[in-house]
Amino acid sequence: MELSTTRFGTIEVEEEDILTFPEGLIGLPLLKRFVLIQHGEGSPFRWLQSVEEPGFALLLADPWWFVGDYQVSLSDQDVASLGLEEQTPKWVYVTITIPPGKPHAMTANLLAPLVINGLTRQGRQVILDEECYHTRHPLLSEMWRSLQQTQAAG
Amino acid sequence: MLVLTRKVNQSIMIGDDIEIIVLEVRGEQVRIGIKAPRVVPVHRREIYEAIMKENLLAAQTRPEDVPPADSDPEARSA
Repeated sequence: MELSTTRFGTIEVEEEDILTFPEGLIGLPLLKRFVLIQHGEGSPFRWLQSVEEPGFALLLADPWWFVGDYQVSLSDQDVASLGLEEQTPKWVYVTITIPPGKPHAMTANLLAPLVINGLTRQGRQVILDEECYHTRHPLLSEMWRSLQQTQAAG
Repeated sequence: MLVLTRKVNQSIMIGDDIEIIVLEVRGEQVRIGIKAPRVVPVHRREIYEAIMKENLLAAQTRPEDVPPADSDPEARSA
């Protein structure tokens, strides 16, 4: 099917690639269907483009690309709601905010990642432990910290 | 909204399995205990608000501000 988007023009998407967030995202309950658009070849960034609202696309990234020791422990409710079993492939992304014109100041919301069941393509924004994570981790310094830890361990 | 007055160590039941207990009142602060099944998520309201705000900000990020893949240190060293 063809999908018209504000940022990326008209794109071709397969029905089976559509991700469903039955409860929407936190604070955005009305948008439920999305597609993932890779930002560029080899890039850790993705766009979560709404199928329902052409102007809505959220920037996401693979958290482990930046924060090697990121821990996602899901609550029983999250596991049940996503229908996850031990072997189910799951995809995890975090939302990224870049202030206009300031890529070096980008932050990641490590507190509330998006978790997607790779089989059913059903997703949910979960909330992790408030003691460990918050909504605005500066990514460049996280990368640096994680790199130093890896080197210290190695 | 239902409004109830409670004293320290008194509680409120919500349904059969959620209990809210007033543990301590000190000046403007109230310590509250929540007994709920593990499947019930319990978070402070500010957490939801912070996440909602961040979702909206992430949706305002401009594609031209996203670093290209080849500017990443890992891609350079590969």
